[in-house]
Amino acid sequence: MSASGTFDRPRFLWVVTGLTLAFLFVPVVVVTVFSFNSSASLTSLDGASLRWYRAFFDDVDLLASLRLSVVIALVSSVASVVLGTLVAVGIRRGTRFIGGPTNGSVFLRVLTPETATGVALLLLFTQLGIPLSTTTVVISHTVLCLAFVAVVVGSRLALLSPQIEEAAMDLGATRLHAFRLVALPVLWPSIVAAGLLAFVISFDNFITSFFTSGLGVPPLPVRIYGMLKFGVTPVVNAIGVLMLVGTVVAVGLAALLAAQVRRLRGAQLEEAARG
Amino acid sequence: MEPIQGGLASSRRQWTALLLPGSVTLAALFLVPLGMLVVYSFGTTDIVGRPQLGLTLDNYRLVFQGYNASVVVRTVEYALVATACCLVLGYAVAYTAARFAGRWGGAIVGLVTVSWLVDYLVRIYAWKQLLSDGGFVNQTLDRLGLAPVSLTGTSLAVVAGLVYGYLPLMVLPLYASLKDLDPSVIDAGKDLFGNPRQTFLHVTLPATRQGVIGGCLLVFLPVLGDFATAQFLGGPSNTMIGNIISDQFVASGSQTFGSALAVTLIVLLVLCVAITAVAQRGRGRVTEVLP
Amino acid sequence: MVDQSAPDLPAVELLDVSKRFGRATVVDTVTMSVRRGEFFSLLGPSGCGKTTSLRMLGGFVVPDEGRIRLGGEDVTRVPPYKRDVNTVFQSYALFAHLSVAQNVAFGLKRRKVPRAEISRRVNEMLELVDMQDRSRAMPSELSGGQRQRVALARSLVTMPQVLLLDEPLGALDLKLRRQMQVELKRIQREVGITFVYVTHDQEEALSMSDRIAVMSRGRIEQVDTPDALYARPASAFVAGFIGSSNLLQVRRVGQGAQTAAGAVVPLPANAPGLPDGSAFTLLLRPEHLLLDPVGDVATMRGTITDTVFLGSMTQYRVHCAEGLELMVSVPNTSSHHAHVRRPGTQVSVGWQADDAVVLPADALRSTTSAENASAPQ
Repeated sequence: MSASGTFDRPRFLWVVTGLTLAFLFVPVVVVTVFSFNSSASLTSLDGASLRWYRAFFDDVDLLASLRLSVVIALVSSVASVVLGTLVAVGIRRGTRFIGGPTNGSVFLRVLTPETATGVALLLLFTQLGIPLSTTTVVISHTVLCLAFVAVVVGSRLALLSPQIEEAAMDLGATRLHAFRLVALPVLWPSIVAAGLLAFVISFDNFITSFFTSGLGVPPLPVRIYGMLKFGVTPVVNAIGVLMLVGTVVAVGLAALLAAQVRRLRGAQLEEAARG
Repeated sequence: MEPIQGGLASSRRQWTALLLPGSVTLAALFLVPLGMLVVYSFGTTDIVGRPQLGLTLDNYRLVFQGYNASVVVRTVEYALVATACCLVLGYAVAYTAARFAGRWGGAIVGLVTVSWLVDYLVRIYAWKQLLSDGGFVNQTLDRLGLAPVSLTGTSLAVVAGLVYGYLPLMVLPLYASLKDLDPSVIDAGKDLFGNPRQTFLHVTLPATRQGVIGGCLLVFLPVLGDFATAQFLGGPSNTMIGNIISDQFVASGSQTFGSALAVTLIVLLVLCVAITAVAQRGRGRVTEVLP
Repeated sequence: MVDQSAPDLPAVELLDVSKRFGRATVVDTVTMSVRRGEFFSLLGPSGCGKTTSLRMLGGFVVPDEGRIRLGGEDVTRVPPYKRDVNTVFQSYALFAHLSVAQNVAFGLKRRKVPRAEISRRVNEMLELVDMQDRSRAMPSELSGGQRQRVALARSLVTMPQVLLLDEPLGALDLKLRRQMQVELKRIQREVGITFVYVTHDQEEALSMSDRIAVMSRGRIEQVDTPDALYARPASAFVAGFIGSSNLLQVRRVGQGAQTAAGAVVPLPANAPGLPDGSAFTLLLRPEHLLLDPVGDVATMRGTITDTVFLGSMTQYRVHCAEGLELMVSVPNTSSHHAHVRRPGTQVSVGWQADDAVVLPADALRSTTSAENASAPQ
């Protein structure tokens, strides 16, 4: 259009958008390209090789950290999904007396920087004489992810009419039974999506793990932190690419499920409109 | 037709029973530790550095003294600058994606998300590779016959790293609120003699206020606590609160002083949320600005 | 305000304006002219190009070809914020973060009108639309009809040369819509501003407009006053779109016309001199048809297949022996009341020869318009 001024010119905005995307992707590309570099140089390419991927898979310590991170992410995502879903449902359907403060805590937990909550947990564990271990990491991740699960499932639940359950109760189901029969089938895709999100948050988590892991095998991000601290190696590039691929697959699954939820809801609305 | 009162109350009790495990977990592992931070921030340390209960303001005096005070100020400055940069860049990206890109809008937002999925530390490390003295940028400058510049260990590197790390958290809520905006509202602004700049400032920006506030909170708050970015991309003069806190707890520091710093951080957070709440002035609850 | 220096120039002119989106030509060489102070409507089915024409007037869409003039001045490429034209949007497009009064003041503020004058004019305008009591309310607290009034006040307060309205009553319920039609007409008379009104609702256009442009497939079919459009439609499309109609495909035979089934009917005295055998369309309005007429009228025999009581009148569907379906409307006078005919009754249908209107034949369009016509109005 003929309007002048930077605020109305798609071309100007496209340039900024393009530069910003480039800014976001230059490091990603650098990491990916240099992960296939055959030499240890971080500045010049000397031919392609899988040397650093091999180095990763040959490193017993790194593999142990990877395995540990997967286990931590699995356990804490399952635990946080169960607790977080119950919290989300309880906040909407339970008494305000407990639901209100719980809702506030969830909100505050999402906003509080992990550095503060991480050292707070560290203080709790040391003062109670609990030795730092994989267990303390899992517990800490569970609290962190619980809040995110409660937010994700809660926002879906907000769109679900309680009338559906009332209809089921009208037909003779008890309240919990009605929830299991009619609300859960609609909610489950968002619950699984929240679980995948929790898995990614836990698997990629550095700050909370950093403060709550003990002397044993560290989770992968904490191990990477150590490697960065004591000199850089191209293996980190290979790990970065592998973690990216893993999380993209997980998030892609979550997005597919979210789309499924939307479709289901659309179909439901149509049905409601027809009925 | 009306459900019996007793039945309703008992069902509320059933739901509350389900809520309890999560509430207890949050109380025990989130609220109690925060409370302990507050309690120990008034404490002292014994000879071997173990925290002891007490009632002293020494830790807070230390926080607002000389070097530490400058770190607190610098952290807030970095966080403000990084949030402002994220807002400008994020708004441009979200606006393009929501209004001009058509079907590609979702793809742009997807790309932004993918960049965020690269491990946090690996992303910082990538910047270190690019910016270090023998790194990619300086090599290129060298080849072009230009003098190498020291890029790491500067405020610029740290702020750029922070912007890089948290920009996607800004784009997502902005995109959502711009997508929700009726395009004819922007047309109405232009129609009523608002030139493009005025229309943006008086119509588009206020109409997407929720997204702006949500995005700023999602960027500003974690940046306040960040420490790895300053640690790897900054130098001794770029330290942030997070660095001092982590030193107190992980290296041999004073945990009570660290607690006071962490409480300071949380007070800053509460201040932000309170300001947001006032700015919202009853136009919807603060919790609604989160995506 | 209305520019007094050039009173003879039209308020709005579109000259050979075309707009394409991709391969589709949405507006096809449209030329029209709106007089000062006129209530002018663009009427047509959805997708006929009326909204795009309006958006070109507003400056939101730049035409691919042709010129647009406002008060004689070429504004084809002038952006919306420099055009002395305001739009009332279909979705109202109120600024949700501003109160009613702030919404109305928006355009005046952008024009740097002094503060005291802004508050005076905003109050006047809110009074005009009867919203003075809600000036501090936020748009979210208003009903649909109230939002409509605020949107109108917001666009009128700057006293534009022309006000554009894009289906502004579309989101309101029927009763409110009727009420707002009267209000709109009153407000337009009071402020004396030229209104260009887009609608797909013929009743809305007929009741408010001074003149109507009927659009179809990106072109203007006819521009005329409401009664002229009804009495003398220029095409079968216009006849079908405005009011209900019976369209007969006929051929000229001697002094009369022959239907496809072979019946010969008379032509009106003013029928143009058409050569023998030429095809054309004959329009018969349902209220001009008479059941079992006496005296000197053309008649056809038929059977009533449907009787619908509509309050002030009764509508019959008559299946004629010649294979035609005719709609007949009879006013419910006391004499007719005693003779309401049940389906299955044999009747004769007739009309005064001069009540028929000769339309050019366009077989393709008349099929679609016949569908339109069958809906009771």
